[in-house]
Amino acid sequence: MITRRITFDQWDARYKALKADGLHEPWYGGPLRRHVTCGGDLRLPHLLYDDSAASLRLWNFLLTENERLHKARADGCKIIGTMKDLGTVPVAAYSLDNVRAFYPDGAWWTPCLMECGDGLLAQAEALGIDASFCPVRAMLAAFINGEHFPRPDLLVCSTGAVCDDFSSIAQRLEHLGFPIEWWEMPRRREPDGGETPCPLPGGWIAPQSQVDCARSELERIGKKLGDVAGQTLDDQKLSEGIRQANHVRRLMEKLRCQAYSQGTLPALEMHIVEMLAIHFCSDREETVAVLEDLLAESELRLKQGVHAVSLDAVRVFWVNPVADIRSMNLLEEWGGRICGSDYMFSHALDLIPENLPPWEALAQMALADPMVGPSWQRADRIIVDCQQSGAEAVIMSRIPGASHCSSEGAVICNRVKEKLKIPVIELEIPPVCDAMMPALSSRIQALLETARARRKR
Amino acid sequence: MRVFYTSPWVPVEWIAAHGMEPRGVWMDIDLKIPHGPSSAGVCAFANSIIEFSRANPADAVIFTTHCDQLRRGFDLAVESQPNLQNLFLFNLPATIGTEASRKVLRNEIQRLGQFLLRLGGHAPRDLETIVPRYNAARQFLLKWISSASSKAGAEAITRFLDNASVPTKQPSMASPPGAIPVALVGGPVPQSEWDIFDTIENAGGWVALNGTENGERALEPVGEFHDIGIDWMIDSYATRCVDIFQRPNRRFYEWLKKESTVRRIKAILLWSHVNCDLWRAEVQSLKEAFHLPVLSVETNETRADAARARTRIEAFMESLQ
Repeated sequence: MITRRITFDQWDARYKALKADGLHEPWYGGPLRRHVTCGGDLRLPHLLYDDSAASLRLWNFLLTENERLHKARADGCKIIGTMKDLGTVPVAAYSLDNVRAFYPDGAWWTPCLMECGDGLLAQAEALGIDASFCPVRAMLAAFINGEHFPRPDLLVCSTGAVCDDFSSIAQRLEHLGFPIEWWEMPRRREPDGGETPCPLPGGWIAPQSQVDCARSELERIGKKLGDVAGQTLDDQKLSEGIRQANHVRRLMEKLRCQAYSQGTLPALEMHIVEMLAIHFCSDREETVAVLEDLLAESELRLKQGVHAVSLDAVRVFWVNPVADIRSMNLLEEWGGRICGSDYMFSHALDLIPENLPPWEALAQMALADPMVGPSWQRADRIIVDCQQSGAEAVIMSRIPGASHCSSEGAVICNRVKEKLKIPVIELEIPPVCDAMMPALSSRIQALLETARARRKR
Repeated sequence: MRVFYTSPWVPVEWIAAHGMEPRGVWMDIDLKIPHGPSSAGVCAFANSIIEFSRANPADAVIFTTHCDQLRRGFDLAVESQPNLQNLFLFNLPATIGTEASRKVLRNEIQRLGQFLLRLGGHAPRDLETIVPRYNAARQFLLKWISSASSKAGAEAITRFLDNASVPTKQPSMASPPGAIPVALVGGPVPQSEWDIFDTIENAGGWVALNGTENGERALEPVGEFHDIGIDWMIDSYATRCVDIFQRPNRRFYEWLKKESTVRRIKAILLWSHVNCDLWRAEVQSLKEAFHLPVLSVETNETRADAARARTRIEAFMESLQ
């Protein structure tokens, strides 16, 4: 049996029904429609949704992040803006009391959610960062106009083996008067002969010297975080922070396993779920609650034999996050389903070692970032994940203007095709993909048809 | 053996000390910027380096991590290059003055040494003579180019990066009479792109400050000569490096401020390759920092679209008169 997918308009009645059934919501809860009428999130009416209360909570959690950050600031919390590392520094930041860390990078979804009604991309262009850069440039404008997230008490950004476009935008931000604490991320490589190897979460191996480098940088950043928070980020606190982060990651892993193998939750909601991993959507405890709700829903569906998507749909492994979240709906509408993903932060999903000194463990995790190593390593992990998930096709979505997509796409696609002999396509998905719908539909449908045809052989 | 390097911040003295022949890529005739649409988003220069490494498998090529395009270009080269042992990726630290950046540099210099040994080089020796020789050449060149035409200066620096040579003739002339002094800043300007200097001069300006990758920044002086070894090399390159990829990149701005004041620069031309985010993102910051007119010129404009570029540069220079 397939669960009902509902439209935005249908959510009004669904919300009333849930409330009538005694739905209890956290303070940020409410009907989905208010995010359009009050928040200007014009994309929402164009999406299809999972109809569960757990999914509603997920959406409300996501869409109230800025509001929650402002409230945290008003409540006396320190706000840390962490940029680029996608999952590392927030683990340290949330180890401190009364600290909230968030990714200003997350503003890249704002033009999508607001269908560019926010004007952020145009404002970024006026600040010298035009459309040839990744949509994360929206972050720059959001800092300047102050209409979205609060100005952080500390801004931290990883540099070195990172995307040029992001690094350039962050540097532009600093030129505009937002001081940044930069930290060095070496480009991960395999150990040379004679170097001490260090196994990393996720399976890669790096020289211990690189881990040492990352550790010393993270310790330096940890000192800064402590200074801002007026506390010492000692090993005990960080170890506890790592345990809490791993709790989130374990929940996430269970959910991914069920959703991607049994289709218990749809692709769109699962994409958002995965995003919670990198900074807990600015509230670690609430992230746990949101995930537990979703997991309960997923397990219930498993027991009842209910699926969010047809198990007969073509199993697609998706690489890179999408600038327009509607594309996740489209994949399912056209007969595909997500069986696995690499949204650029697999290191934020892997468990952080708990049997090591905590800074060492965090450094290992940082160095396991798929984006800081060779493209072929990322490709090889994708291949293993595809094999484990039984992927029948791979979609590599390009982010417009993102410097990494141009070169790594060729390496990843070629390796996957060669090793797995399954169809692979690269697609560029802009923040609002409606205008590209004919091209997208042709390419994705052709991919899915090809994958289906292979079943008959 | 020829060891081609792709950034002036790779320690050439270290390569020479291993008995190898350090060669900057900017002069080599095989290096061509592919013009036309770069629809894949790959920087033309990085693409050229990949092609260059494929075309010259007998030579060693050192890629660097100073930009994402070259870093990932290395991955592409590795996928298609038959002679993998001749490729090396040098991790240039982006941060300045941290313990980590020194550690990274130390590791990379040591690894580079091992790489050179594998290629048949000998254990490093004669650094105490090689280093002063390179330094003397840099100092000579800095003086020489101050009396030379901008194109001759660019050629002299690039030849030095190519084979450590310096001009034997006196420079012919510096600035054309009445020309407007401009700074040319930006990424690599290979020999094939040197028309830019003529274009600027024909429009009534002259490049009084060459701040491109293979320009005067590559001649920044080194420190004191004592205990020349790896530690000296780390100190020297950590302090000499002046580039836009550094985070923060204020050292480049300070360098440009100092040099442009001395040379009474009236405008800035920013040279970048199509899809080079690092330089293109600086256009607005340069305007705000220097309050000078800034013109952004992309490489495609100087060849395939030469007439358009010429018109833009002419209009720009005219507006300065």
